Amino acid sequence: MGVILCSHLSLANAQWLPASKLGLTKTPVTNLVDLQGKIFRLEQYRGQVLFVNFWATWCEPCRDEFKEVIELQKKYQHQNFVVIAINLAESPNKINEFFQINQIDPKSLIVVSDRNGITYKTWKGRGIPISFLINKKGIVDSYWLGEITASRSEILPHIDDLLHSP
Amino acid sequence: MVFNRRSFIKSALGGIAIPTFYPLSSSFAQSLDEEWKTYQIKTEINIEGKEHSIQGWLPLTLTQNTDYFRTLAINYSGNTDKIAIIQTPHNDLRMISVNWDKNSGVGHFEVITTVATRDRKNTFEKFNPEIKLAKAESNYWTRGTQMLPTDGIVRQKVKEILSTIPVSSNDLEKAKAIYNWVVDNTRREASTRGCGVGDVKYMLETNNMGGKCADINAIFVALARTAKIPSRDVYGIRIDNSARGYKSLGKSDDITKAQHCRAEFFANGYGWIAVDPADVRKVILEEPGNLTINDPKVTSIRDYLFGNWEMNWMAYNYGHDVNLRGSSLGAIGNIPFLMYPQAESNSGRFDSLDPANFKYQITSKRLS
Repeated sequence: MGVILCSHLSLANAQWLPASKLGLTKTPVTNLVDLQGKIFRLEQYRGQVLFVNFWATWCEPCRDEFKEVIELQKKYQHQNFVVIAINLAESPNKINEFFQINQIDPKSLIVVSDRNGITYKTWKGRGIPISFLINKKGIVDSYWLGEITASRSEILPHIDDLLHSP
Repeated sequence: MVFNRRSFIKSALGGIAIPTFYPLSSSFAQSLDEEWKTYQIKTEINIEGKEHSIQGWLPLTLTQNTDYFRTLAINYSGNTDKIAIIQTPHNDLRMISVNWDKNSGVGHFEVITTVATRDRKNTFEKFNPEIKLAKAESNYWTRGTQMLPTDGIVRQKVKEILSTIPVSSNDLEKAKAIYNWVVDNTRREASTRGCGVGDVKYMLETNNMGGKCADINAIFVALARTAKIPSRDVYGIRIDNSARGYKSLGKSDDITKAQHCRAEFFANGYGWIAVDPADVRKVILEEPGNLTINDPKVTSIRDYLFGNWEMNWMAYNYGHDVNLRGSSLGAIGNIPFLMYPQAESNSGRFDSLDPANFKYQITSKRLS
């Protein structure tokens, strides 16, 4: 696949923006495989608020935020909130090596592989890390381009709004 | 041209005919004058046993020789089931495609290319009104592509740039204005993976002008095309150290990660002119001394790289929006450019920027 921009947007400027700004009006069909080779379908998580994060081990801000993304899952784990970390175009060996080196439990969140980078294209990503919020109706709501920190005040209110919406 | 398993069973050996202006013979290298240097570049891929139904694509060198770059020989070997040489209709790219239908162990394939290069120089002293590009060629090299549009924000940017020079400026002067704007307004971003993407619209829209060669030189090409100056990226790889005193502008021996994209434009009366604003930015970032834009080392390379290329570099192709023929992904699997080995299996595409896991290695040896 083509190479991807790694986004070094200043944290001061990052914010949740409507997905429509990327030209995304509906949630792309996302059927991938996890690191054990089992099929993953985004559709099966309808009814929950989803945080879909695109990342790669070579991307410095992605590496920096990975533990934050895990914290986000822990924070909301009992509230119908699911984090899905979609790795971009790397081999399972590379991903597992990253987990080992960084002492990350790969079961701490759902990690799936977009080995061809095609799914990323359908989500109209223009850099990584990029995260999307999908509401309980399965509709893509907003995106955050750049690094996430779980404690950041700009990140949580919008997630809370979606969790409190029907 | 396809070679199937009946022709090449298990141990495929082959070479391809090189379209050349001179007969290909052992005396050819000796007939090159002193300006020419010859190199042998080996690209080797080794794919290990767990993958199945593997297809690989390797870029080959320019489809036609030039006065600064000649392909003398291309030889290949491997335990593949199928090999095909694919050339695009406009001759802007050729690649070798290989298949392993079942992988029992290591899938191995190597291409050994022998090339001759000589430094590309242009002092713009000789104007020849006969030198023009045919209309079809001109149209082709001013076309917009998916990553290099010629409308919208790109057109707006060109208008801004050209508003700073007289309306009567010729193509050379316009190209120089664009070149200078690119050098002044972009930056080399060390964290960009590989050579970058070349998404010109994104860079201009976000005003994020950091990247590497495929980004920075793509901006030049897109702007030049929009100004109706035929222009193209030239994707390739560094094959020797620089003899001009710039450590950052060369690589020898293991050149696995030495891919580099350059650019050129066509000026009536002069022909195709070499440029490389990306390497100007590389010098600023990577040569020691925290160089500023006005540093003598920078102004020197800036002047040099408008019109000249040191030819410690091998040219692959001019291709954009490249289709990897036979890919199970179809058109959606197209890549912006072909400068790295590519492969996919039934598990998906390999990471072309991860040679250690892919696996592939590229080496260069100077012969003369």
